[in-house]
Amino acid sequence: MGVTQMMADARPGGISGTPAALVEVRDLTLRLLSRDMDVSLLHGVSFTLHQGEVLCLVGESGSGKTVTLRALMRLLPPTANIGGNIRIAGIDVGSLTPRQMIGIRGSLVAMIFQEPATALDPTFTIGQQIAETVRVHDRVSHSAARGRALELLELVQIPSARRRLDAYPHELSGGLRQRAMIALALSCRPKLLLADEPTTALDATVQIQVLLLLRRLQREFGMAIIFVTHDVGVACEIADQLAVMYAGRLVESGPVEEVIAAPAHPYTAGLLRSVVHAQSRGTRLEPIPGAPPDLTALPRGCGFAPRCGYVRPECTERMPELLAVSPTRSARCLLVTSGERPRAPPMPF
Amino acid sequence: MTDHAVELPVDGAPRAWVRRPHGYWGGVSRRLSRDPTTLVCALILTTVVLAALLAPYLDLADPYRTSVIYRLKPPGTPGHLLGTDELGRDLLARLIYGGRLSLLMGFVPVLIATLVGAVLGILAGYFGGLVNAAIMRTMDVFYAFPSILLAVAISGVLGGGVMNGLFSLTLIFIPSIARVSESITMGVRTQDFVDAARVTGAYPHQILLSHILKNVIGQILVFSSSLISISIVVAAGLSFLGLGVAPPQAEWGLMLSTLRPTIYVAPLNAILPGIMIFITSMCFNLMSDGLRNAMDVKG
Amino acid sequence: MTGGSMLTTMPDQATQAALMRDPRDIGGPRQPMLIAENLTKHFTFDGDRLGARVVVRAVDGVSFMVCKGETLGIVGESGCGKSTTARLLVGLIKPDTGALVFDGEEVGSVRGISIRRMQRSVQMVFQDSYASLNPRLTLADTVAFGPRVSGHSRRAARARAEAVLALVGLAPKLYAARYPHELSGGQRQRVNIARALAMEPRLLILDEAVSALDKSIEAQVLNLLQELKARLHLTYVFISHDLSVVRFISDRVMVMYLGKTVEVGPVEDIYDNPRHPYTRALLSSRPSMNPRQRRTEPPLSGDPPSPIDPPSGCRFRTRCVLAEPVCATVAPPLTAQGSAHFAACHAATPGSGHSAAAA
Repeated sequence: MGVTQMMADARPGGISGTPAALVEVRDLTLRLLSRDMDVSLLHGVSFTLHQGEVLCLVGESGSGKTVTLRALMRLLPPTANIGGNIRIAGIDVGSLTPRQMIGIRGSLVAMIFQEPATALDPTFTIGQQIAETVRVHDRVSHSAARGRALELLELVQIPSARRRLDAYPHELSGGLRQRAMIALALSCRPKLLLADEPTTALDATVQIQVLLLLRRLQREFGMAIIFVTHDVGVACEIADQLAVMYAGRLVESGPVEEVIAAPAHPYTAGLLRSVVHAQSRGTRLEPIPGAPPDLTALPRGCGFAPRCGYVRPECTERMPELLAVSPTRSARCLLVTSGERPRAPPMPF
Repeated sequence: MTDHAVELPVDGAPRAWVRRPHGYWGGVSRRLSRDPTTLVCALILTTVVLAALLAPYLDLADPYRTSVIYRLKPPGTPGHLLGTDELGRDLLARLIYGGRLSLLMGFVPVLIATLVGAVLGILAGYFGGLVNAAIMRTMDVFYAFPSILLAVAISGVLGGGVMNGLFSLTLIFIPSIARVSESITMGVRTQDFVDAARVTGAYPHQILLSHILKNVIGQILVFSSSLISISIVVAAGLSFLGLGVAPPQAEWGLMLSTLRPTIYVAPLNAILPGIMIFITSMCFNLMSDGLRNAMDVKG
Repeated sequence: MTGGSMLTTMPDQATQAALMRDPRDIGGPRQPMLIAENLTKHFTFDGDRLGARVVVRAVDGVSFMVCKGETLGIVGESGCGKSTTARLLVGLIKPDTGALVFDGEEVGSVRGISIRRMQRSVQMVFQDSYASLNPRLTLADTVAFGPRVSGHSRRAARARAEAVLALVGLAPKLYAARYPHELSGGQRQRVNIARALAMEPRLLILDEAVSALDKSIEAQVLNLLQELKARLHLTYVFISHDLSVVRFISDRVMVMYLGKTVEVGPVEDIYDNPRHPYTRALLSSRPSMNPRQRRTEPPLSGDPPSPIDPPSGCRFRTRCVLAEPVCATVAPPLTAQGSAHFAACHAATPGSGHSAAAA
């Protein structure tokens, strides 16, 4: 059946009206299988996201945060085998045909990337690209689409928007290109925006502008955002919920203020301690010892155990379950059962 | 100081990748050996080359011995496995002996042209500026001519014969190899590790030999190997036109030319040299493709 | 000397003692390790329209000093010229005008030392990327290349390479024969550092040396850099866009904007009491680590302009909240804001004509 029909039927509230989640991911697994390699990138990731919420996926290289995002839009290479269940607005994304998938990309789910230069087509003006997306999804006339493109450029605060409609991507600076990409992503009013480190390549003064813009647009449109970043500071600026990933698994999640103030997982605590700030001067930094794990040779038991300062014998026997720290928080660590917390760094509050 | 120990053994056992490290070329040859097309072509070429090299030691008929009676015998005639040509000479022997010259004229020009063209192109690419302009504009002059016409013209002026044929073939390949080498070198030159080498105060020849060469030679070889097949065909063409090898020497292109009038009388005999040219150049081509694919992986 | 950042801080006792013992030291502890005088570098490109040539004014009259034993941090955003400055300092590019004085000797002039001589004592650590290490050379070969071209024998160079790899925490038995693609980002960066140290430099230029690393690895490498500096009595110039890291590692900080220095001074002065509007904006652009105290307004609007056609007068005036007519006509000089703290802003310069300045 048509995707529009599916989306019309599938309201996040469901038939009975109770607020169901916008995004439900259960036991997402990802394996890359090819002639040269066989590696598992995700080992059962589960999370829920409600309408209008902002979730930040935080992790380092190899944590799996980027591929989780791409799995939600099924933007993975052909060698990828996905397992588990992904539901967006009640639609089972895994069961869609490629044609239906194209239907929801842009209209239900949109994505912005780290490098706008690669996401924007260099042979078309940004006005043309936005107008084309609008026409494909909403079936309006050329002039109406162009008008909508202008509105969007003004919405993302691109100065001299009318002139910039006819600009090619390479004629714009990095910050403006990023805004143009956001305009393109929002052109069909998606319910869910996936952001793959969109501010990492930007200068500090531009990064804060784009973050604030995203927050404002998120509030105005009531969009949900899943924002991937390696920068905890960025997560503090934009997230409602924080989810920390390590070696292809979710190791901690919860409301951002609570997780930052009192992390329950040693990796989260270590990550926060690694952040360099004012008080660090003159001292030796306390990094997490060792290096991110080799995904082709993960140890038995907890993936973080080799680097953990709180490791116990049980940790290397079995992978801990995601345990509830509080009604809103969970962590994948045996410390939770004993009620302990890892030593958190003194946050500059 | 634990945080310097980036190697943390897991469960006491060494990490998976602490094995004998293999270099880049090790990886390339491993991938090559797994590609079926490459293996088949390699097999065919090895057979052809070995046959050509060992021709005097094989039990073949005399390729120069003519016979008035046994002219244009079809393949399968007893004593002549592939038949005889228009002068009664054994075709199998002629093809194998002819392979020696054809392969020589395919291989040697490309080898010499690679040596000359790569040096010119790498120097032009590394130094830029006036050096680049001087070298590349000279190349452009030669490049402006269609290569086969150029070869014909040079051979026509110098006269026929194997040596002149080799000379003109070498000349026509130098510009394109130089061009490719120049562009590859320019790509490598902008990378940070070259800057790092320059910061040590190294002289250009030291940087070229230790850093640049290893990074460009592979891609240049891929390009060159794709020229071998062209060289074989052009050499055959030159002989076909009477500008390369002279009779009674055996060479595939020459054989094609002399057997051409007999095509309606003994078609099978007439196309045999053509088939050899086709197979050999095709195999070189496919192997060069295979080499490119095997090299196309990052580490 | 220029009226720019005139500053000499005496290095501490231990460093002084070490400097006295260093046989290569010529100028003594008070002589700055490096003086950059009025460095200018413009790049010219053919424009996209007929006849128009595009001039990128990457570095435009930058002067500063680096004292022996200190770490000078250089911060700025894209287009500020810090990367070009790094390459000028290390001799990869020649300045159009201006001079470099290393330990009292002018570089590149007949009276002083050659660039090649200077490169024996000044080395650079590059940003980690796939292109920072030669993919076809083993780590030992990469690190030994410098000593080889300096004249050491193959064996001595190899021994030095292994020693320096051990110094950065990569056991030679495990790593000497490896190739870059087998390493993680943090390990590659250690090799970058080792390669620079193999030349036994006195001054190390670190160009975004930790920017591409994961945060936990960045912290490890920063610790390593601090340790190496103390152990080998090095002087650092640390270039980065990351303000927090620069604050951690630097003794003095220089802020660049569009090819010019806008502020320079001791690190705590710059961070606690910034006198230039751009420095203030840059400092308040950092994401707060407190979810309860989020920023509501961006401190600066618009993108950094390109260095092709910088604004007249003060280059920051197009984005500055304090801009006035005098800013468009006169380029502000670096003026003292306290001992050793300088800023190039009319509002902070007495007698400049700016309404906020003292008369």
